[in-house]
Formats: sequence, structure tokens, C-alpha cells
Amino acid sequence: MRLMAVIDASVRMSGLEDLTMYRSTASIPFSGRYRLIDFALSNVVNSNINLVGVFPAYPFVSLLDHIGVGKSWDLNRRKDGLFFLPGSQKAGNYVSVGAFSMLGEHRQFFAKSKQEHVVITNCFTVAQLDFDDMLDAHLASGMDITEAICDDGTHLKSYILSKKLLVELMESYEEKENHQH
Amino acid sequence: MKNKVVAMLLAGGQGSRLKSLTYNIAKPAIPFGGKYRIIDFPLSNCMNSEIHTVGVLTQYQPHVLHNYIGQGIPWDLDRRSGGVTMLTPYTEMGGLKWYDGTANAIYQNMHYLAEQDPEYVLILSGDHIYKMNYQTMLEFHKEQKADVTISVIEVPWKETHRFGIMNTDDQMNVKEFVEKPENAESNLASMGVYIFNWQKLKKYLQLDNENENSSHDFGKNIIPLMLENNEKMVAYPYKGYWKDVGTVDSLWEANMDLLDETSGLNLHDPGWRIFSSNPQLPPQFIGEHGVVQDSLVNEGCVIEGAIEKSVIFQDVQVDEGASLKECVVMSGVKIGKGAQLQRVIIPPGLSIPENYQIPDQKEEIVLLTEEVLENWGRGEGL
Repeated sequence: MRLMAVIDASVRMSGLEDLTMYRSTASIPFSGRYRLIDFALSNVVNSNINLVGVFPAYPFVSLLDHIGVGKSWDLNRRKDGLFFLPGSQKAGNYVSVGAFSMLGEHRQFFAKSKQEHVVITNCFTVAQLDFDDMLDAHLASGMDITEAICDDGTHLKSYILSKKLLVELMESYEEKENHQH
Repeated sequence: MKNKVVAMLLAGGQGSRLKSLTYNIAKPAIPFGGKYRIIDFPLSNCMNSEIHTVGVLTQYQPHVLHNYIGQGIPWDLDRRSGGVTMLTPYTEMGGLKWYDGTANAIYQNMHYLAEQDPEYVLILSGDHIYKMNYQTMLEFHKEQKADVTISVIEVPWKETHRFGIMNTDDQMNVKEFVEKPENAESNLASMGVYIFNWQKLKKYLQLDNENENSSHDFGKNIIPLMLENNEKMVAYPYKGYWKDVGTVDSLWEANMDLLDETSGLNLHDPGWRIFSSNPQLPPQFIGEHGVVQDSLVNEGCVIEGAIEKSVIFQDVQVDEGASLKECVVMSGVKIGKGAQLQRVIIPPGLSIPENYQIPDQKEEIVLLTEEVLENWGRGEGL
């Protein structure tokens, strides 16, 4: 109810090139019966989040085949549910999770939603995260952005921020881009 | 899942004051507003309030309801975990157990609740037309640290004798519950919408079940028993449209409220849509002589006559020269040429003969039946 989710399924991992010739990192098979994106999707659903945007990069046939309409995660909904939001940046990138250029291409996804906060998560972290708890911690801290950090100090590259701030960041990125051209 | 809410929707009532409309179907299954049934409102409220586990308790004439709800697809209740479950009376080692009172119906489904393992149980009835955010009520319940929260609405003072009235203090703590008082101290009426902490509900259902003199009713027994034991009970003030459609007159009025912009019943809010099962009929057709004013006309209709201030359900045929004013015409009805009708409810599937008119009708709302039409055919009037 409070949170919507962005799953960045576009990031490429150096070292996994052989496995990602024909599929995205998100759809790499894992542990006999999963694919990597299952962790992100299950974290989202188990945190009681009903609105999820998956932002993939090419090649995503296997990812789309795996997710379908999201039925396995109860995301085949009339209200909210799963959105598959490919960008024009074909190949994805190696660097960042939740790149504003990618999110900015689907501003309507954010504009049409009612949720006040956004969690941005990725498809290369195998973890069980409760974003609802994380949101409570985020709100209690009064900070602008919260990132999930593991006990050993590893950055899990999952972030929570207000939708208002995210939209502002997307806008200022776009302005900067326009300025440069 | 923490903070889990399970809704228990009481849909077993007959609604005998609706006469022939409920001979074959339970009250919550009664068609409403051109394309809905009454139960669409609480189910859609659940969906819009993001409550995804709903038990529907049925007993009286349940087949239409069961068929209609099915897997719960229109209300997003077709789920891997939770979703909709139809809860009918069943036999067990002790014999067959019909639901005997609202509290008893929940008591007999404690296994279902235990399996769902909720923190809160939302009790709803399938008798009312209203749009309500149960999540907001739950927030209130948590803030107040209540054991039970009862949703209340202000009713006109002259009507307080028709309702269960809550007497509260300034902090909305319920001090007393009076069923249909002659001289009411407050005009806050219970809407039959309760949120219980599950552990408390369990305790009181068990206590109530042991009492042989109890009629096992939430309003009559559970609520007074909890007050007696000083459990924290608060009233949640609801503001907005709410109507009990338990009589022919009130059902007609609620339908007419859809045609009145000032009634407060708005179906056009994209943020709070009412969902319904769709019959997939062709678009309505208004013929050369058809005139439609101030009315709702649904898919599959063929209109050749004149319609004013009426609610016309799906697949209705109105022939040339027929005229309808302030009518509620349910699906599959055929209105013969030249028939003149005003202030009537026509149940599904009736065929109104040519030139039919209701003899001696004054201001009252008439519910047409096969029998009334047959009598007219023999020249016997109403």
C-alpha cells in the first residue's frame, strides 16, 4: 500500500558474459529451480507490495517467458500488478542500479501510481529482504534515501526513497541531458 | 505475513422483506445498479482496500452466489495464497451444523481462520451499498489500540429506532450498545462492519458458544459480552454514502441514487472502482423511436420505447410505444409494445405484456411478479 517496486533487470555483470549471451542476468538459472529475478520478485511480493515495474534490457525473451503475466507471484492483477517496461537503451549497462535515464522513459508508470514510496532493487543479489521493515527504518531515520546493507558491510543495491524525490531526480537528470545536447 | 487481515463476509441472509426477489437467491446476490450485485460492493471494497483474503459465508439459497463469485477473478481474489473461499455449513463428527446466528457462523469457521492465521479479522455483511476503505478503519483500530472497532454512521435522529445504536464518550470509546432504542442517546448507528483482534474474537466466540441462552449474534451477544468484560471497544465514524437495501423501497431508492449526482453514491471514481462479473453482451442499441433520458442503460439492450430516470440492466428489450419512468428493470426483461410503467422494480427475465399498466397505482413502489402479471391477464388487477 505504501510502496511500489522497481526491479532493475537491465544491469549486466562482468564475468557472467558467457551466461548472458542469450539471456539477461535476471533470467540466469539458479539453484536447480529458480532464476535470479525470483529473489527480487519474491522479496517484493512477500513485503506486501502489489505494484511492480520490471525494467529489462535485451535480450529478454527468456525473462519474459519466465515471468509471463506474473501469475506465479500473484501479480496477475486487475488493479496494480506487474508491468514490463523495456527501455530504448538496448544492451543495458554495467554500472548502476536504477539509472534515471531508464526509469525516465516510463514516467507514466510512476505518475499513474498511488504509492508514496519506491523501492528500487536489482536482479543480481540473492537475498531475502523485507522492504516493509526497510521502509519503517527509512521513515524513522528521516533520510532521503536508504540502502540495504548486509551485516558484513556489503551494499545490497536496494534503495528506498519517496516517489516525489525519485521523480525530481529523473527530471533534473533529463534537464542536464537536454542541456548537454 | 504480519498485520494480516482476513475478511469474513456474511452472505447467508435471506432478506425476506425483499419478497419475491429473494425467493431463489440470497440477498447479497440481488442485482443492483444495472450491472452489479449487492455483494460487489463489499468485495470491491476489499479489493480497493488491499485485503486479499476473504471468506464468504453462505447458507440461504447459495448457488447463484457460488456460481457468481467462482474463483473471484473480477475482484482479483484468484490468488495462490488467500483469495476467496466459499464457506458453507458442513457436517462433522457431531452431526450437521447449520449456521445459527452471525457469531455462530464465524465460530463454525474458526478452523478456516486459524489456518489463515491473521492478526485482525474484518467482519462484513453483504447487505449494504457503500464504498469504504477498510484499511483506514484498520489504521484507526491500531492507533486506538482497540480490541474491537465498530464502524458507525450518523443517521437521522428520527430513524434511530431502526438501528443498533452506539453510545460513546468523547474519545469514541463505546460505552453502551442499544439495539433499536425507542429513545436513543446517540445517533451513531452500527454498520455491521467490525474489526477484531483475532485472539480476542476467538476467546469471545468460544465463550459465547458455551452459553446456551445466547442467540449467537454479534450485535446482541458478542458486543455486550465484550463490553461487560471491559474490553477496549471503539467506534469508527464513517462518513459517506451507506444504504441498507433490505426492502423493496430502499432497493429502489438506492438505484435511483445512481441517477442523482448529489446522492453521494459515485460509480465514476477511478480510484475506487466497483468490480463485477461481465456477461460479454453486444453494445446497447437505441432504435429509431427510442428515447432515453437521465437513465443507465447497459449492454445487450434494444430500446425502441421511451425511458426516463430509470436503471436498465443488461439484455433488456423495450418495444415501441412502451414508456418507463423511474423504473428498475433487471436483466433479460422484455417490455411489450405500449406498456406504461412507473416506479416499479421488474425482476430478471419477466415478460411484460403489450399495453400493460398497473391498475390503481398511487405513489408506492411496485415489485412486479409473474403472479401479478397473470392476474392482470385475467382482469383481476393487483
